[in-house]
Amino acid sequence: MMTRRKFQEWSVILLGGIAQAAVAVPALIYLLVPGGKKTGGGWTDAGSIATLPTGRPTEVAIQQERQDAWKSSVETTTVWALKKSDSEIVVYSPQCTHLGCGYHWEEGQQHFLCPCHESVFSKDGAVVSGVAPRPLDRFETRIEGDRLWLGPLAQQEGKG
Amino acid sequence: MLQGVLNWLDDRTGIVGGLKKFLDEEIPASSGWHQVFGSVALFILVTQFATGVLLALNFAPQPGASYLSLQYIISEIPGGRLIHGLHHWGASMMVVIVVLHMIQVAIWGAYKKPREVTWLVGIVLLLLTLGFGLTGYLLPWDNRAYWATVVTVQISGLPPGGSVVQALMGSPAGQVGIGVYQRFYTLHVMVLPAITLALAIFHVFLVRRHGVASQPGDEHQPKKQFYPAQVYKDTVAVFVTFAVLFGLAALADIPLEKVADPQDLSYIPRPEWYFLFLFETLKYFQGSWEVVGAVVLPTLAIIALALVPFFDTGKVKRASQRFAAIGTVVLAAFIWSALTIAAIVTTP
Repeated sequence: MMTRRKFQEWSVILLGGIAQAAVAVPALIYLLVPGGKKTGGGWTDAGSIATLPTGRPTEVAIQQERQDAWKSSVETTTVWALKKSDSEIVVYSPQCTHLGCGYHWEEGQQHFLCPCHESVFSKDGAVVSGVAPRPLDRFETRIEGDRLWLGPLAQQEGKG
Repeated sequence: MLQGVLNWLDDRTGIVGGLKKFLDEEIPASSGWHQVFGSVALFILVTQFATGVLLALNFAPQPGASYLSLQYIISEIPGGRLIHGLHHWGASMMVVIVVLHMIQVAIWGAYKKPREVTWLVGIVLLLLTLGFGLTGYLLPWDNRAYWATVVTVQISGLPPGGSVVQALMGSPAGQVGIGVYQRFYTLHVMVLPAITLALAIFHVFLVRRHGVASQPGDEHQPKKQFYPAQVYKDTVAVFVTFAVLFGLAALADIPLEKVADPQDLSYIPRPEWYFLFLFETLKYFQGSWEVVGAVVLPTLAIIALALVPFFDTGKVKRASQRFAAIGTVVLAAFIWSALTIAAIVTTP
């Protein structure tokens, strides 16, 4: 037989626990489950391929639609494009695969250099030296007429 | 092992002994269900703080952006609608509980010497609660928020020195825009919470310092301990309150109107229900008398409530023998209810 005191003590724990859990569980879901509609998968016009020099990486400005939480905007960003021929163009994400810094093409040395932690990538995006864990990320590409279109980013495997 | 850690902590902080002393505090034999409201108010305060922080994580406090970010919270973040609902209905619930708490204290004569300051701090906490409601109402930046705040800012300009008040509100010319918005937001999330937290702690400290007020006949009865009998009653009350709050948050939709439109002159603004009495009062005072209804009378009412412990100084605690004091509280409650009902009935 439970005493009155025991009943009260257990009620405090049980009722208090339920009320706390009823706030804590939605709060955790709110904190941990990402919100927002899934975006991405769209294709972005990256301009005419005629203006790209063959064999030399070129910085290309593109306009991208961006949905950031409640805010939609069109932002200008740049990518590195390498035209190998009129039917083969490789486009690299503008961020180093180490910690996301912007890198640039060194024409004299014929390689990409990330100034943050001195990772060096070859023209093909492979890691030549430094701390970068994998080759430069590439966009899916599509050529329609004389326009270059960019799709989703894909990570490259291995050290290259 | 656990006992060892607790002993270590207690030796250095006194926290364990303090908690034990807090729970084992002796309370009068007459204590019971009527004294749960303070604990319930404290619980809602904690809920408002927690849900407020969660909302702020995704809320963009700027006119326009706030509207979009609130829509995003409600419709696209898992759990967002519930968190917003708890915060929204919690505000109304707080007003209800605080008023019930005051009525209970008044009927039981618990504000009497030496508890006058506890009562005064309670009045300030009531005003802070209303301040939270007033400043929070603007934050969604929908039409209702905008136009209700236009009225608030205009009322602030009525009394002598009103232009100074308006300047303080960030509205030197009586308009509502970024200036008012940023100040209301800062008040709502920084200034009011800090003051409320400090005063709530002081309020609880005073309650503990003077002990729970006794009733006639308590001196012949053995005292009780706060834990578990009273904690049990408080917890049951908190649980029932929370169940209602959770139900409202989960089931009732909170109307988010179209985004604030300063050109929409056909819009009839409504305040939150606990300010409807003021809204109604304004209909009876016109022209130069407006300031009386909007500012003077509410101020006098607050002063009258604050003075209750100072004119009801007798030792008598039985409600039936304290006509003036009980009359003041009943009259205040009656006028508030009557004006609120009149506003609801007469407003399209």
